[in-house]
Amino acid sequence: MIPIWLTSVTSWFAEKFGGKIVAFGLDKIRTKLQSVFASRNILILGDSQTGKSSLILYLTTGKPYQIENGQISAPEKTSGYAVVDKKVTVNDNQLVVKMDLAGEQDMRSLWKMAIEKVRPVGIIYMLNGRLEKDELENEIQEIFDDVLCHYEGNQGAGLEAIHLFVNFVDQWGINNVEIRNKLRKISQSFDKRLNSKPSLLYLRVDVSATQFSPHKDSWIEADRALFSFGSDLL
Amino acid sequence: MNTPPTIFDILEKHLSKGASFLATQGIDYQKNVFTLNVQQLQPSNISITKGDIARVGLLPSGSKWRQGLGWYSVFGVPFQLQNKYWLAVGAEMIVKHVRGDTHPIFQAYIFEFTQEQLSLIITGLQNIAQEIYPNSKSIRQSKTGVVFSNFQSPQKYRIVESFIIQSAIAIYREGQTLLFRTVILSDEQLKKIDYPAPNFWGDKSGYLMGTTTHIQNTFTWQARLKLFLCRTYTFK
Repeated sequence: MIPIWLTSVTSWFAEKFGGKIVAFGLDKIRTKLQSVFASRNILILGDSQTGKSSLILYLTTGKPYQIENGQISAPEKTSGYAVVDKKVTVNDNQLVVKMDLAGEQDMRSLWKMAIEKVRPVGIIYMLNGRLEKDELENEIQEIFDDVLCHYEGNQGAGLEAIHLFVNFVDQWGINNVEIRNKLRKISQSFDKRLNSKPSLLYLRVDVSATQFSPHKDSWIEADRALFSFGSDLL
Repeated sequence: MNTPPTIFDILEKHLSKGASFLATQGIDYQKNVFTLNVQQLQPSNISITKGDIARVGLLPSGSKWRQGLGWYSVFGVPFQLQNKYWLAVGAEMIVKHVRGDTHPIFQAYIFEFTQEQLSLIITGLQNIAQEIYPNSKSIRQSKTGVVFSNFQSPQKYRIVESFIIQSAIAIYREGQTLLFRTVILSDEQLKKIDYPAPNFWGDKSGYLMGTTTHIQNTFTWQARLKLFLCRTYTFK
């Protein structure tokens, strides 16, 4: 038997706030549905030891390191691939990190497989900013040879943006002028190659400096780079 | 002083003669990168590349290895390539470099899955099971699914390894394919693309894997639940 006072309070509550509760509920359902259907896949690629797994940890846990037995450590080397499949919010944009892939040359056939299976809307390509000019040029060429070659003449594949994260800025960027110079050179080198691929000119491209050192307390550069990446996929 | 043979020595001794290819993954400590090699062992007009090995999911997966340090897992992974059926029999082992990094090394002997090759595979696996665990006995009624145990060390776990290998032999003897793995070293093994998905009807799962509490405790709760639901037998 329901007490009369409870029935009265419930009726009063429903009369007073009923509409708002329904609207709130609908809003929640709509947001949930939006997040379910609007989630879009991204891939993080790059050579071995460029910080891909650290970035994935940062995106999924808020810290670019793991704590095991009370000790902070960077992620161990990725062999083959690891299925991540986690939803992350980047600049109010719901994205899904599907896989963590090894960067070794010998394992790059996995990149093709991942591109075909995941069909990413955005790719973050990690570069080791500590490399010398020629080595960086080679790495930039690899973006075209191992990633963008799968999109040439295939705009329907759905890639909207590729952002280059030039990592370890705490180790190569002595001051802001030097950082800007390096990013500009990388950007020019990338654009020069992109210009010769008319079917890829639609891509939104950006180059940012990042660092994911486990010894720091904040990763502002990474936040800025991710903000820009998220904006390009809105 | 004689050092005991590693699992890779045992594999070489019993599998190298009949296999068509040998795939190995090691690490180049100077460059700090994994190295992958594929070697053709028998004359053949078919070639298997490094790219194929990575694509069919033979390589150890993931970036968490510490939980399996000192352990190894013997596996048999069937796959299809160039319109032929193959079986890769091998092992992966978690090792530690003096610098402190933990990582897997891997070796797989690849056989074409034909009647002729099958007898070589079965003999090889029989010998491996005997060498790992001298009391190893053949099994008639094999199980599939996940075998649970609570052994703390690889030495004590050998009885489970032998059981899983013998069960796999029984299935291969009937000409059926099976993916087996004597111990799951990383929960990433449960998420591999295109691998037989876990199902809750153990006898038809198409795979047989072993797990021990010592390593399993480090897995995600989802992975542990999946293992629990696919449990087929518990070693005490």
